[in-house]
Amino acid sequence: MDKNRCLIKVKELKKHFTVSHNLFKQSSKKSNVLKAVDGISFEIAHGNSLGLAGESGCGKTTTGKMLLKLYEPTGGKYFFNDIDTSNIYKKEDIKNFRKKAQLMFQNPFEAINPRFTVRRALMEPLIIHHNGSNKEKEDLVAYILNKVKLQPVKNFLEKYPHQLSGGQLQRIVLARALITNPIFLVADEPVSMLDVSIRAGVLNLMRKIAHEMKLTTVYISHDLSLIRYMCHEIVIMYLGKIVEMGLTDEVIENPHHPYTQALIAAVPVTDPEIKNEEIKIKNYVPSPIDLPPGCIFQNRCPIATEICFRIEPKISKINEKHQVACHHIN
Amino acid sequence: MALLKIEDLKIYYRSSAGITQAVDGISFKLEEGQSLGLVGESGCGKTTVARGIIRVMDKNAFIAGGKVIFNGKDLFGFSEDQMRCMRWKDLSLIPQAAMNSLNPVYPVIDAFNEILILKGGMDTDSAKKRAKELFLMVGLDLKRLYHYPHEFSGGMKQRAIIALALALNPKLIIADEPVTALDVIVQNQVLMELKKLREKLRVSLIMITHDISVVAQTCDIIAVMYAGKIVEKGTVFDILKNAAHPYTLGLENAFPNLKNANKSLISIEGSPPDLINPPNGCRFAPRCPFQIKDCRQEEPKLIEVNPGHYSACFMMSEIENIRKKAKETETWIKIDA
Repeated sequence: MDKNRCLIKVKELKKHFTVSHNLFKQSSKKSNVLKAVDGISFEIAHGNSLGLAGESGCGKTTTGKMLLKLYEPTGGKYFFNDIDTSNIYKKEDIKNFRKKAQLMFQNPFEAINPRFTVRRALMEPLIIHHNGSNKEKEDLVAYILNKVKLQPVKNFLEKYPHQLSGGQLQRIVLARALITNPIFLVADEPVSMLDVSIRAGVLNLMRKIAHEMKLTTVYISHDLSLIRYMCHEIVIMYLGKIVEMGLTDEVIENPHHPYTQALIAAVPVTDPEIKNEEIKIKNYVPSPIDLPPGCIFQNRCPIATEICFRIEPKISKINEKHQVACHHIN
Repeated sequence: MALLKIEDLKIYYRSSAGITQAVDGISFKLEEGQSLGLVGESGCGKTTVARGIIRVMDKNAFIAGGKVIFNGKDLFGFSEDQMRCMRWKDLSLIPQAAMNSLNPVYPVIDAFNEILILKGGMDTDSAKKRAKELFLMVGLDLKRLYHYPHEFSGGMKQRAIIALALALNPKLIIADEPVTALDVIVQNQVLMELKKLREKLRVSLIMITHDISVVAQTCDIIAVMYAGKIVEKGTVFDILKNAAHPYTLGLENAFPNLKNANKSLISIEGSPPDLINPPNGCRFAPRCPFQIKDCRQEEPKLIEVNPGHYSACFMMSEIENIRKKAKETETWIKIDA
């Protein structure tokens, strides 16, 4: 068997939404297509972590939802552990898939039922997925709470969400995602709702657990510094397409696409001696319903030439670990 | 003379559970044309300070003591009517989530008219002229004036709000998390715009944010707040290059750095204290790895470590040692709370 087998393989994946033109006439004849994700391809090897980055509306959350089969793709192929996921539709198969692929939510204050104790919230996935005895389930709950460092466990079991802090709640959200022993985890902005001083704790914990459990992870975030800290590989998305991807260090140290360059230059630097430059990108993100021809970035790109307005650049390798979709790589 | 001087300001909230000491005796000064970054975690009282200065507080909040002296006048001596005359003209507030503060059923120009005509006493024509001037100043297309807020993107709304805050040439602008909800590129553009305008118009700014890097890029001085108190204040260089309080050092450890892949993040264990029954002594002591006995009994005062650089910590004599130790992960791992 091939050693570098990929857990996740995505080929030309698409998700288009039909949006009605008129809010009050749902059946309006004039319906438009919003291309939230438009033909993206990437692979994630077993145990690796991938960061999906980009501005709001670039399709990163939609991609995450497709990876978890919460959205059915409009086009393209998605292989999970070498199984074509379009063949997973029987109730039993979907249940099995859900057990292996889990989601960690962004807002811990809304992700847990306020009327559930910690014990009950963590039992929920076991009630659905686990056939063991009550004792076994209780043991698993205690085990996972230890794992996310909510100790001593007995102090937390009977607590309600409102009695816990944001950082503790996010650990519960993580614990709940991990309790079915998944092999794949999607974390959508896992710390954006937390205070800075406790973010680091949750991130370090996630890193440690992902390593211990050999989890394959996808982090969705607009924060490049977070992705750099957490991920082996990075995918930069813009308007539903991938503009640049590769090893995180390589892409961030040596960005080639003008959009990636702008994104990186725009991150404020904590050092007062280094002043951020003004970003040269003008205009605004065009509407995803009415995309321009050629390169999607042409109307904002500082180096666009005639070809960019006609032909869409294909994503191509500049080396083994780095791919860019731009006509002007040099 | 300083433009704004805050002395021992205390703002408390009443609730059924008791009295929350949200802001508990803070003092700072702001010179004309200067910009101050008020930094801290959520719940540390930074928004309460902003709303207290301009006196648009929640109903259950009350001023428990202290003075706000603006341009030589004690604002707490002012009646509500007098305060209303000051707002927009002398000091204006860019509220948190400013993007949602434009009225959705009126075109944006109506918001400008309201302020320019009602507050500024202009006639319709000069108000229109001024609104156009302001729009150009913040880099918005003039035809946008007649658009409704929903036709604006987040960054454009933020620019419009900044233009609005500048409408009557205030001396001081208080911006509460002005870029938090924006994407990085737009954030960069808005911050640059704000910086340019501030230099051009010589307006003072108080920037409230939890993001140290935003402050590093836009402010002259920083005050770090923790649990209703200022724990450290000084110039941007003092605080970010030469921090002298364990909390500030801890915050710096917790920030991921895009340019430095090898830095490992360290969090501050525990969470901020309950402000209804704040602990005795230093409020950071329960989370502080460098605490000594005194910290739990007596409250440290702000002492000058270097000219203009103040820190509220008993361990100042050992600050070199603390700075070194604060960089190590083991230091922060286990503290008995």
